[in-house]
Formats: sequence, C-alpha cells, structure tokens
Amino acid sequence: MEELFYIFSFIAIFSALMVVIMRNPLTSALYLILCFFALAGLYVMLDMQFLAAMQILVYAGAIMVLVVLVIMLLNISRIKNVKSDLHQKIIGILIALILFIEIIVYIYNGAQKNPTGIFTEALIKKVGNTKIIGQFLFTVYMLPFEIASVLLLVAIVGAYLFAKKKY
Amino acid sequence: MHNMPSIYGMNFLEKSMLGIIPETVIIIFAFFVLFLAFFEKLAKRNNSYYLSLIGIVFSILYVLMLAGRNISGFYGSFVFNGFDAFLFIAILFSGLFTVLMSKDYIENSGMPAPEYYSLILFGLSAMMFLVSSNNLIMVFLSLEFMSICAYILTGYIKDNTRSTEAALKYFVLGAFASAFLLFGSVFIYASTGRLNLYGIHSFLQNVSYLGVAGSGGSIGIKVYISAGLILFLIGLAFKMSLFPFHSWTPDAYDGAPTPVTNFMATGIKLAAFAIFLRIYSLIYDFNVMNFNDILWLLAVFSMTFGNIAALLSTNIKRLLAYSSIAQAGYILTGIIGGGFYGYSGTLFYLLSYIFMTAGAFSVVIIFENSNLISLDIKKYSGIGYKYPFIAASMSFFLLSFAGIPITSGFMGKFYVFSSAVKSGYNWLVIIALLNSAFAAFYYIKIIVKMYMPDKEPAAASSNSSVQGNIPEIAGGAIDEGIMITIIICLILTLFMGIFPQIFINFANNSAGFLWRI
Repeated sequence: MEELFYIFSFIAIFSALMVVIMRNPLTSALYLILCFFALAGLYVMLDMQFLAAMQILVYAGAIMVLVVLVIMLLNISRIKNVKSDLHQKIIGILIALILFIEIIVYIYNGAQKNPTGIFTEALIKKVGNTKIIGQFLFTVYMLPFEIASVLLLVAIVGAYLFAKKKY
Repeated sequence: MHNMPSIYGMNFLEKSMLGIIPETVIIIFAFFVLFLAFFEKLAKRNNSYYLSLIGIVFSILYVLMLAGRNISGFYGSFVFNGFDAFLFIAILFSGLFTVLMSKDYIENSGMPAPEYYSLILFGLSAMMFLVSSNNLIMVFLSLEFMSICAYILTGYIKDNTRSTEAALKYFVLGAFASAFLLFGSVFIYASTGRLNLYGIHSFLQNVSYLGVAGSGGSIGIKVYISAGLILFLIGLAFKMSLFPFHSWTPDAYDGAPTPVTNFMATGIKLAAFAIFLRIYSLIYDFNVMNFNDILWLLAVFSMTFGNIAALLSTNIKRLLAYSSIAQAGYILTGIIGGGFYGYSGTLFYLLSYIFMTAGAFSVVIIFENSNLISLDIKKYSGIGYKYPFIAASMSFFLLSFAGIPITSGFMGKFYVFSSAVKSGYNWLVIIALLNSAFAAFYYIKIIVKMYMPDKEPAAASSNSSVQGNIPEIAGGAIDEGIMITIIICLILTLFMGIFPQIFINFANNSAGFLWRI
C-alpha cells in the first residue's frame, strides 16, 4: 500500500507542476485532470470512496469539461508574449511559502490522536462511507438537501435569463 | 448502525412540515408563477402579479396561524417560534410591497414578468429559511439561495449596462463574502464539533473553551472559534452592508431595478440582521473575544461613512443606499446594547425601517415609472406643489429616516439607543446621536428641494413658472399598487411612532424566544 501512496503523490505533484509549466492551455487542463485522478486515488487509500468518486465525477468530469470548452471556444493554442514579472514571481513564491507553512502547522497541530464520535474506523470500513453519507443526507440533512435543489433551479432560471439574447 | 435521535416519534415528518408551511406555500406559488411563463397568453397579462400577491397573503395567514407554536423539525435543521413569526411577517411585508410596486415598472421596461415574480418569491422563501435556520449548513445554503435570487434580480434589466455591471460587482463580491462565511462555519465546526446552533451554544456553555490546550492540539479551541466567528461576521456584515464591506451597496442599489433595490434594502437586510441576531445571542454572546468592540467600530464607521457619503451623493437611489448603510449602523447599536431590551429594540427598528424604506422607494418608483424625473435629486425641486400627497408622504418617510418625533424612526432610535445606554455604551450613543443630527441635514435638504424650488432657472426663463417645468404623470393615473404601498407605509410609520407600545410588545414577546432554547 505504501508504494501506491508514493506513486499517487508523485503523479499528483508532477502533474500539478506540469499545469504551471506547460505553455499550451489545453495541455495544462489535461494535466489538471491527471492531478485530480491522482488525488482521487489518494482519497481511496484513505477509505474515502465517496469523496474519490465525487472528485472524479464533479472535478474531472464536470468542471474540467467546462474549462476545456472555454479554452476551445477562445481558441487559445499557445500563450504568447508572456511577460515575466518580478513582482508576480515574488508574490507567488511568498503565497506558496505561506501555504506550505500553513500545511506544516496544520499537520503538526491538527492531527487528532484519538478520534471521537460514533463513526469509528471499524464501522466505516464495515459499512462504507457512501452509505453513511447517504443516510445522513436523507435524514438529518434532508431540509438543506431539498433547499439545495430549489437553489439549483433558481440558478438555472438565472442562467437562462442572462443567456437569452432578447426577451 | 448509528442511532438517529428518536425524539420525534412516529409523525416526525408531519411535525417538521408544519414548521416550514409558510416557506413551502411561497415556494409552491413561485413554481406556479414560473409555470405561467410557458403560456404566452397567460404570461402577457398581470396573472403572475396577482398570483404572487395571493401567495404572499396566504403565507402571512399561515404565519399568523402558527404564531403561537414552538416547532423544531428536520432533526433540528430549523426552528419556528415567536421570534421567527415576527420576522416572517416583516419579511413577507417587504415582499408584498416589492410585488405591489413592481407592476408598472415591469410593464414599462418590458422585462418578462413571470420569472421576475417567481424570483422574488424564491428570494422571500430563502429569507424565511435563513431566519428560521438553526444549523450552520442551513445558514450557508439559505444565505446563498437568497443571494443568488438577488444577483439575478439585480441584473434583470437586459440592455442596461449599469444593471449588468451592478449584478457582476454584487456577484463577485458576494461570492467572496459567502466563501468567508463558509470558511468561518468550518472553523466553528472544527472547534466545537457541532453544526446545530443550539448545540454550539451548549458546547460553549459546558466546555471551558478558554483552557490553554483544547482537544485539537496545542492551539486551543479559543483561537479556532475566534477565527471562525470573525470570518462568519465578515460574511454576514457583507449582507448587512456594514462599513468595510459596504462597497457593493451603492452600485448594486443604483443599478438594480428600483423594486429590486427595495427588496434588497428591506428583505435581505432584515434577514441578514435576523440571523445575525440569533447567532449573536447564541454564540457571540459568550464573549470568546471582545466582539462588542469590533461591532462598536463597525457601527460607528458605518454610520459616519454612510452619512458623509449620502451628503455628497446627488442620485436619490445612491443617497438611499448610503443612508441604508448608516441605518445599518444604528440597528447594530441595538445589538451591541444587547440583552432583552436591545434585541426587542432592534426588532422594532427593523420593522419600522421596512415601512420607511418601502415608502421612500415607492415614491421614487412613481416618478421613475412615468419618466418624469430622473433619479437626480435636483429634478425633485418643486414637486411639492404639483403632487402634494406624494411629496408629503415622501417628506414624512424622510423625516422618519432622520428620526424626528411622531415617526416610527424616532421611536426605533429611542429604543435602540436607550438599550445601548443601559449597557454602558455612552460614547457609541453620543456618536450615533451626532450622526443622526448630521443625517437630518441631507434628508431635510430633499424636502426643502421639493417644496422650495430653486429660483435661478425661473429667473432665466422669465415667464414660465417653475412648477410648469414638471410634466404631468401620463394619464394622471398612478398605479394603485404603489398607492396602496405608500398608504400602508404611511399609516404604519405614523402608528408605530404614536402608539409604539403595541409594536414594542410584539417585539418583546418575540425577542423573549431567543432565550427559550
């Protein structure tokens, strides 16, 4: 199992780097999909099958399709005249450093030694977290779930109104 | 498997559904109205207008029927009690006024009616869900629901670049604010392990969160929960349009169709303040950090900035937007004052604020509808003689904004400020009083403009009298919906000013429910 972790994390880091380095936006987008798949693999290793499926369905499936569609519509084959801005580089490095420190601090402090609650690791292994999430979604969080459906309907109406050329 | 709380017994769904009937009725009517858009013949006439009015009236009736009950349902996702009943009525009134004043506006601008009214109704239901939500997920979802309706309605005028720009600004900034709110809720959840507001309340009551090391490692719970509460406050302050997070307000209020501006100024502000009041009384009141000092600063800056900017603005919608920022500062004073009197004063002020604002905006709409007067304040000069009733009611609403006695604005300010004095916030009240004296200047400036037209243009164009410059309202007929709105607002503003005892009793009753957990 440990080898799998290293393979997935290597793929994730490598493809994330390629997203930044590649000059062709479409290639970047495809590398981003690869990154999402690698992350999904990591989620599966953490017994988060539902999260992994959602990662692939929503991110790699739906959102990346939109990104690729926009790239195709704009017809950008290659980013030209890239100005290397020193300020941008400094700010980027600073933000990356801050995020890195944040992750280190989080891992150092946030790792809970004894997880509490009714959902023990053994139970999740036995039932699978998809079933638990489903049960919660249709009992405890039923009202938010229904409200989300109406919210999406309103969003569709709004998209339709804005996209319409003329009333 | 895990055990679901079995407190609900057999008829869990019936009990839960009973509490959300007012929202459900509104949503069902919104679907009906949306359905009208399928049929060209039905959509052309005013069917959607009347249908949405009926829906809102039904919902008000249901709220009145449920008013005495105390319902909590869907595993504690929402709660319905006297506090919600009061605010539901206020929100539904704001929706009723919005629908009443938008009939002619929609016809004149050629916007599709069914979608517009259904979005208003969806927005109303979202506000009601937000007020009665008792769960961080519900708060976030219904806040987003409400905001999405508002974004769409802001950009509803198709060929108007100002409207589209306003919608885009509102959307981008609003999305940021929602992200802050969500991030804050995550922090609160991480530190307490609970999503239910009452659950967080009891957690903070029982656990010594001030301890050095919490359960989360070397950084105590206190740090996490303070960070969460600050981020949460930012998300809500955006919706309440308090000072550092106000920048969208003038643009969005100015660019949106005027009925929608009224909807944003009354409904959204009311719902945001209501949920802030609930969360404040449950969580912020533990004084994890000195939140009252932060709120103190927000209130003072909102008042001062709003009033100074309103003084400088020449567009009446922008002026009302800035004045609404200042009013938010006054309302916040009541929450800072805190306690039973502070909260009931805040509720009273919110109720009176709805009637003043709706009245002022409906006067603006009357003149905007018939293309008589642009939104420039200078153009309002002399209308006092041409349209005595409308001008008189506008002056009354503006005086109420300024807080002159016998108006509801005065009584609202009185309750809010006296509660702040009781809690020892003397400087805050002194600044607020200075501000409201300062604000009276620009409100009265408009009244002076309306009744005492400038003499210079009259002198230039020798014979034509000043009053002659103001054209007649086309056909001499003002839409009866707007007139009804103005009359209701006028009566209630006067009534709340003269007999505040009835309304403050309602507010007291409903504020008392905040402590009945």
